[in-house]
Amino acid sequence: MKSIREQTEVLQLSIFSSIICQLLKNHNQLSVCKLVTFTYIVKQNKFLGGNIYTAKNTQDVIYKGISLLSGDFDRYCDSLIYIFKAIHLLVTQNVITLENDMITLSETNIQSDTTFVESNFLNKVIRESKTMTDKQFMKEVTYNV
Amino acid sequence: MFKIRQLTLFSIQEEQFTYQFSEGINYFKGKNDSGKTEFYFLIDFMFGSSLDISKKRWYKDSLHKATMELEYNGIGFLLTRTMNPNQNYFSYVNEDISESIDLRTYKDKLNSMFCQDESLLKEIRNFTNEDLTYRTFTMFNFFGENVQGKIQDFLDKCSDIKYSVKLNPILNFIFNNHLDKIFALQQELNELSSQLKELEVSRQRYDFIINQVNSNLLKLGGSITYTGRNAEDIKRFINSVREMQHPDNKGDKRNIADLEVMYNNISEQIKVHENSISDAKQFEKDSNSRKKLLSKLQELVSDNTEFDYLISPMQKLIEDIDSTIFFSNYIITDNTVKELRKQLEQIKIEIRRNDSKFKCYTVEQKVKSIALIEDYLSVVITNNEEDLNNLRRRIKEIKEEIKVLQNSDDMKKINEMSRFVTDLYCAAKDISTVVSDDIHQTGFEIKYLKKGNILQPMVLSDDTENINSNKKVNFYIGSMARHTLIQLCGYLSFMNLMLSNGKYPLVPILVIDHISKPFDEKNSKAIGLVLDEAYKLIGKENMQTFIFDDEDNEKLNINPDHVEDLVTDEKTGFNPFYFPTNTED
Repeated sequence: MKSIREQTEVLQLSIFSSIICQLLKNHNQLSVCKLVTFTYIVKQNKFLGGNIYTAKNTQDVIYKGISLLSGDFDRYCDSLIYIFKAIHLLVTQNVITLENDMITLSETNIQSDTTFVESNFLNKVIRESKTMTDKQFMKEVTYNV
Repeated sequence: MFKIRQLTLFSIQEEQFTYQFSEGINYFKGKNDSGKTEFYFLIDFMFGSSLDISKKRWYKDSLHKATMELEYNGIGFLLTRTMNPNQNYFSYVNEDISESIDLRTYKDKLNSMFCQDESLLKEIRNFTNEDLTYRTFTMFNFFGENVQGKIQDFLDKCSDIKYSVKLNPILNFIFNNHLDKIFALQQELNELSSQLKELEVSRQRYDFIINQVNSNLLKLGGSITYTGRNAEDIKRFINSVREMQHPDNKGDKRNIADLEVMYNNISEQIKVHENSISDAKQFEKDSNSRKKLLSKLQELVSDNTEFDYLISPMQKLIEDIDSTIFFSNYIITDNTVKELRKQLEQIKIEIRRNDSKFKCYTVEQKVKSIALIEDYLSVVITNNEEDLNNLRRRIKEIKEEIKVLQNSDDMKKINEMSRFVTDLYCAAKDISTVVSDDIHQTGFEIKYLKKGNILQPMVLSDDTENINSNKKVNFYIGSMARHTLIQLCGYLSFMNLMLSNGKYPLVPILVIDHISKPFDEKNSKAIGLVLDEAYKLIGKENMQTFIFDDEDNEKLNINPDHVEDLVTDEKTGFNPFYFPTNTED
């Protein structure tokens, strides 16, 4: 039993690490809260079966993105543990650095991975979310449950 | 020309008593409890109301039947009603009385009598989608004492819901000048609706055939689908199967395990979202989620203090959230969930489609499938989705247009109505103090408002800032006498409007009960003046008025063409066969 648990953890950590690196490669810098939330959304996207929102949406993009979490909060909280562990892993390996609540990529030689790809819509969401404070962002996330 | 000549009452003992009427004003004086209001209701009864007189003490055990003789456009009619509401007789004056007819037939006959113009009836029906008969128009004929003083929704019968629901259609019909356009549009609407039905039937057939072909194709293991236009490709595919060629299997984008996981994911998400909506305590929910988040984070930290540097800023943030408000819209979340549901449906379809991939089909089944496909392919079907949508859109447009036209009013007619009411009212200025007071207000007039059927007195605004503004404002002033007089003018104006038009199924009578009640000595004389003024325009031969009151007609300044006392030496009131039983003998 223990080995299966460890195997799951390894799987999760590797998935999240790869997603985190991809995200940071595309967006340079992200705060901790936002990085964590968007990592989870990217992973979930694979199991949505299709794009609900596309890059054509222009209004309230952030709220639409966060609404993808509706009904999913419990799983989000459960996954948080693994996402944080993945971040820690990457920090200790000097792949990413944490400064003033912002995470940046330090290792520049990251290969593009096609398993978990952020959609164009999510790309837009992340870019727009840089205009929002972390506090407001978390408020929207906790409200959206 | 219309005239009720006489009303004959027959007693159980076969006695008769006749009330003679003349054209113009018929005035009946009766003291209290002499049956004035009963007479008022009896007239309505003779014209087909659903009153059941067999229970009333005035008629029970004394009256057998009542016959009204009237003349309309030179033809004489006899209308008889008995104590049994469904035993009625309708005949010409010189004919023998034939078999009895029930109330509905009686009313139908009266309706055709007042509406010889069938095209008008059809017009009414098309315009209002209702059958408005002469019975509905009786709301303009009866002015009872219960609604005296009402100048908003001032018709007596409209206090009854049976009539109030028909008031708006009638007013729309009277004050509308687009009748033929509306009629034409409605014809078009009917035609288009039947076309739509046909198209929908053929659409159903289309869907059915496509589904059948596709499900059979799945049995043959093909990944090709029939869209209605690629019959040739399907035939080629079938031939290749028949010749036992191996169908090339284009790898599917998603395998069944993936699909099942996705399905589960989405349905769980939707379920939680819906449950949390039904649990409507938002603030509690909000703090619950914060608590959850914080506890998870705490768990992480307590396990391994290494993570502290990562977690604690986030923890602090979440604790601080209290000082913010949320901006997101519940509409967005609902929309997302709606989309999730659609995805769910798609995935369900795909899973079902994959069912066939893991089943074995025998050769007989495959042969049957091929035969069925060929059969269905031979049916020519067309995808008429575009036509369908166009048609639906056009139908919607027409309905909107009709609605707009129906609600547009003929302002000329409405202004005419206002003017007539004002003229009638002002005719009493020399006699009535209330009227002369009103006239002294600058710019006094009474305006008729179609919405709500309102008679609104208005004066020029005395707003000293804009002396030249000429703006009229509503003039609210009390006094039941004033309002009752205005109400009377309203009734008379309606009668004038409709009689001069001549196209409505209207009984040309006005029946008024106890109008002197709210008036004092001086102002009651205004009633007669107003009536005279109205008759100058309408003409005594065109409308017959019946007034029941307990005052002398001179007091009301009325010059009737026929006057009668209900109480005489021989009778105690309106019903000559009724003798009140003395209970203390």
